[in-house]
Amino acid sequence: MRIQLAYGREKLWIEFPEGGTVDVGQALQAIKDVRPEIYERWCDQDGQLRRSLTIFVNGENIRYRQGLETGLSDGDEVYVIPLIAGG
Amino acid sequence: MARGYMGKLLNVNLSTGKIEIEPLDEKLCRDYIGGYGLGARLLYERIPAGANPLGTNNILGFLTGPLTGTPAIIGSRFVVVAKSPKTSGGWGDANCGGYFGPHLKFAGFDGVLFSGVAHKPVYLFINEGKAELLDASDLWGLGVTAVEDTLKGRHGKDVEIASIGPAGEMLSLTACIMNDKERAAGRSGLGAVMGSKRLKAVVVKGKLPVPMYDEKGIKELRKKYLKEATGFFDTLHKWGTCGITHDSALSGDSPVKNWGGAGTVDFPSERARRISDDTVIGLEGYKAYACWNCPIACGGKVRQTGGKFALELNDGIGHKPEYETLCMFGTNLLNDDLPSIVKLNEICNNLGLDTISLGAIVGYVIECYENGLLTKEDTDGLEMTWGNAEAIVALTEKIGRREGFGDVLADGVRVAWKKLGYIGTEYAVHVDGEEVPAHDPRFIPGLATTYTITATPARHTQGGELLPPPGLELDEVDKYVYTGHARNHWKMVTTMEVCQAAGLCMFGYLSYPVQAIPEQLTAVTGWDFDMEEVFKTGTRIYTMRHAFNLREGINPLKRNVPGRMVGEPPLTVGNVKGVTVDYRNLNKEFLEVLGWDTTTTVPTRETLQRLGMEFLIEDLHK
Repeated sequence: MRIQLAYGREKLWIEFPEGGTVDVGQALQAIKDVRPEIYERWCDQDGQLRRSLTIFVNGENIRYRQGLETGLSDGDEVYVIPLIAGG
Repeated sequence: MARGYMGKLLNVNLSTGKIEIEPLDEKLCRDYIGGYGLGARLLYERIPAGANPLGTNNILGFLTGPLTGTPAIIGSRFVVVAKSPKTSGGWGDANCGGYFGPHLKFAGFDGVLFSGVAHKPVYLFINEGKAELLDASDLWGLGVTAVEDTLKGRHGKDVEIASIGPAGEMLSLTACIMNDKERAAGRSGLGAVMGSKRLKAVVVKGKLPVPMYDEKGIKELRKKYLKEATGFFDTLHKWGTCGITHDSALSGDSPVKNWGGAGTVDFPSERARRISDDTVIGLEGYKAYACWNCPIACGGKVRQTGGKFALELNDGIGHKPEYETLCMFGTNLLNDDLPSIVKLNEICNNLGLDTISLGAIVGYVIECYENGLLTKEDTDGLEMTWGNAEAIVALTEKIGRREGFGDVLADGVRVAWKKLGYIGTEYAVHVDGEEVPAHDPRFIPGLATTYTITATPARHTQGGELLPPPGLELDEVDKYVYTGHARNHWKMVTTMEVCQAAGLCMFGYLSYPVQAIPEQLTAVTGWDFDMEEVFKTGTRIYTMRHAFNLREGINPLKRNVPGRMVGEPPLTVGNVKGVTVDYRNLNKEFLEVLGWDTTTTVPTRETLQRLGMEFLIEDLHK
């Protein structure tokens, strides 16, 4: 199963074994080995997801689904948006 | 006098033409630092309660901070302060980068305070400690670009200029004060105050050094912190604020369809990309632009010489639009025509208009038009429909010149709503006359407190949950649980107060460890600052600005709160659907942390004593 993780203009695919189940939290944790610099932006030293992030699955805020336990299917896009500011 | 300051203010009475140098009061500087803080303290004493904001008794101040013009990261800022003609005669201020602020200090002064009204148009020329008022009759009516070109031709290329365009001259409450042609002190209607004084420009020239307590130390701090760039740095350095437009549009942070729509439905990804990040910096001739001594360089210039929205000034080169402009004229109006927004930026900058306010006014007009409350007969024949880029550009130009229907709109949403007979109340999105910027409290609930309680309402640059600086210790809270946020909010707004009073840019605050603020202040001034002192001084400044309003009879709890801004009723689609912000409880808890009465908002006697502001007790506790 392939899940796309997107962060701003950066996009990468994470592979998971076929037949298993994966949720958003697991997908985010999986980036730790692949892109540790992005993982540091997403998670604190204790591995907890930073509260400043907003996460979408296929364009919908996971707040309206099951949060980090929202289940993912092959080809889903997880989009992470940091708390942002502008002037 | 402590270091970091030139030690002098210039008082200019425009009615009499008298110019006097005033030594800066060291105690006031220690307590209020500079910028908004020092400005609020001085103007509270010097402007009588009830003064007409566009009359002789108002004072317009240009002020810097002790870190302006020093190696501190990023000491490029100056502020403008006055009683605002826009927000019920309350406190008014605006903040600006570019080059004017540092050069005001290099010309010998920490600030200039203008009182009275000139008999004819004038400008002030300050040249290394000497100042004179000069005739500006030939400049009156000119746009900002022509004014700067003329004055640089007259006084030399090494002068820096703050000026108003025709909008300020015509006392439009949406008018800005501009410098470096396209950097704006945008909010509070201060361009109108400058116009009311018949003051067209302030020109500064000089190479005087800014004294520093520990010059070697501040240079070492700069080197150290430049290596520790973090937080928002990468985004700002690469794109500037246009780097967030796409994500903000989708997340629910940006206003869409005059705050009534949802990005995912009304302005989806493919449209948002057309006015965001790589598309913006991919415009022809893009070149990064930095304010004075800035390592981030978030600005940029682009060339647009062809097409129906070709730029007409500066050989077709203009500043790229930033996030607020892109959203207020883009997502807010369902307009994904980027060249039109580049053109709108040029129009607003040259006429001296606040792009946030203009985007909000046009949004109000479009929604009224689309719902049959306005017709082509009202709009001088313009078809004001969502996303009609040509009509948006045409109406903006008319507003800036007060032509026809534009005259009805030139003083902002609240005045327009009244003049038009109170039509479309739901569509008139403002707080106490100030149009709401492009960050939505339904996405960042803490912003509701920033927008409603701060002395200058509806301002996204006043600190709070939108702007957490790297390294500031904050409690972990769920943004949609409307309790327990107050202490975090207090830390962030007070740190922002000190950042701005010091003359620093908030993008430095967002891009380097927050500890840089007290350390740099200490190195430059010689006074001891740590984060606790930052919070305390910031609280004093926040309270001082508020005290100005209290004396005018303004209680922020009685300000109007647009339903759309807080989800009353909530959206039914998009990424902030179902959200209703309990701003009342957020505000109440914040007032408790501040030590202000939760009904009257008057700071308690104990609070004023703790802050060393006993002089306010008599006025506020009559």
